[in-house]
Amino acid sequence: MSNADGITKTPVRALLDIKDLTVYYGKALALSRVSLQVNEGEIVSIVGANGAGKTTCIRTISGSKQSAAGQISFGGTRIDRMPAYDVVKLGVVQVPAGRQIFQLMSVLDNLMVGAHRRKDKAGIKRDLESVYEHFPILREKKNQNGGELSGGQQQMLAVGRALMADPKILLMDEPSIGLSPILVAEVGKIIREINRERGISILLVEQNARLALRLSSRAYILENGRIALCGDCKDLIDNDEVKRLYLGGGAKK
Amino acid sequence: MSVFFQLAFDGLTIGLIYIILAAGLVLVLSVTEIFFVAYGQFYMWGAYIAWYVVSRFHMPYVVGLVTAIVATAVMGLASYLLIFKRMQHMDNRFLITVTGALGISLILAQAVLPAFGTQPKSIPNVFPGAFDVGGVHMEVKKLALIGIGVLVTLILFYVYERTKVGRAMRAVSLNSEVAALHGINPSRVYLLTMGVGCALAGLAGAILAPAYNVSSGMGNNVIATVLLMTMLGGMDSLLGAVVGGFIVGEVLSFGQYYVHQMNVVYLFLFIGLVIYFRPNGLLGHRTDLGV
Repeated sequence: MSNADGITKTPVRALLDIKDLTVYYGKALALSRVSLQVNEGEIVSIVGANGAGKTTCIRTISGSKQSAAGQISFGGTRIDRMPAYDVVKLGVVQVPAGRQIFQLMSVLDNLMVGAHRRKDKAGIKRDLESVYEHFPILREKKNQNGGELSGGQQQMLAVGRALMADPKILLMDEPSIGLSPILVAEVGKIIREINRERGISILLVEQNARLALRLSSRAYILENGRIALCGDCKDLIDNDEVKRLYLGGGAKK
Repeated sequence: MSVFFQLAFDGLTIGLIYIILAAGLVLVLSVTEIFFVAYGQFYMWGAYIAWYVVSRFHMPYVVGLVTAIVATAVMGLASYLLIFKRMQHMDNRFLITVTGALGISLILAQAVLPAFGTQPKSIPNVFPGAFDVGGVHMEVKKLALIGIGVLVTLILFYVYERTKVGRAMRAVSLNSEVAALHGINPSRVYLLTMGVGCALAGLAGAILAPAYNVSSGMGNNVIATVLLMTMLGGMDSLLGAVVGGFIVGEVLSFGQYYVHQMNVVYLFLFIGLVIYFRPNGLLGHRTDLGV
């Protein structure tokens, strides 16, 4: 955030700062010296084909996967050796791919799992209310099992569950996957709202490059575990290679 | 008619033992995914410990009960930390945990002989007295068993379904990685579950001790039935454990009266039929557990 007088006194340190991150899956190199920053209040995307290492990147940040080398800091704290259940306490919250809600638990229980590490009862209550306001369908179905919801509703539940953790940054892994075009647009709207209204930074991983570049201010293009390209989205959209590889041959401006 | 109620009453007494055992095993199976065939031995040890404390140290029964619960919980935690913790996430964990549990089962079954001798034991006169209600002979010691059993089952349900701890256990049982992503430490939940699960076995043994004989074979006698029961009720369903336990208790009691030793055969046939038509059991949902 900028100061009231508009002058930045010290160089702004990125909220999420990844340096030279290297990750292996067994013996296979999944990420090679990936560096990436997300500033406070920003939406940043990681775009890439299947198997490029996008999900690995997000899972390593959230602590589900161990890195082999490099550093991840969040708000100045090293988080790359922290277990996932502690990382979330700092406000780094992953919305897992494929939604992965708890199918045999009620919608309300799913949401309350999100708040597991919080002790501020009043805050939890307030956030539950705000999730219900954002997604009225979740209030309506709060006593039904998560597995009974439709795909789009499950995505809302997964986002709502993450919001219950009072996140500073959301790591969203392919939120559009498996959703109809109308729902993809809806998810895009939700991501923007979360970012604007609550000031939550977002790191978005997407195969749907079009959606990702439209939503975010900056993007990193991941190819075979390396950052092939990065920059402002408005520049990337005009980049010929990006057009050809990720936006479909005859992409129009 | 009084024969019917007498058999029903006796079936309920045995059924509650089975309900507690099945509930504990369902908890262990669905949360930790350890196929814990040593479970019956914790029940046997619970019974022996309660007997030992009461008859050797002349302590009140409550002390024996609590000692049995605490001791079996500690034994469960130790077996988790020493053996199962590293097996739990292997790809072939089903076979490996069965093997590990069989090892523990053999050790515990043998260790009881030098420790307590080969003769069956019983705790005398803790809950003396009996009365007849409408021709049904009710012994106070069996009523006590039923009372404690019902209370424990209710508490277990409340904790599992209505508290934060129970919610964390359910979340880990469904998806431990996603649970960790939301701040739940799965290792702690596994420890807690093993402790509580084994304590339930110890408790079942300790509440049985005043009402029936305690013998070194009792763990082996129940484990096959309890495992089959969890399949009958559903391996991920506490309610299934209660329904399964109730059915098993009554079938054993009525079967004993009408067909004697054949009762076990009919019971297993019945369970086999249910599983044939409902592979997840009567109330189970998950298809990814064990067998």
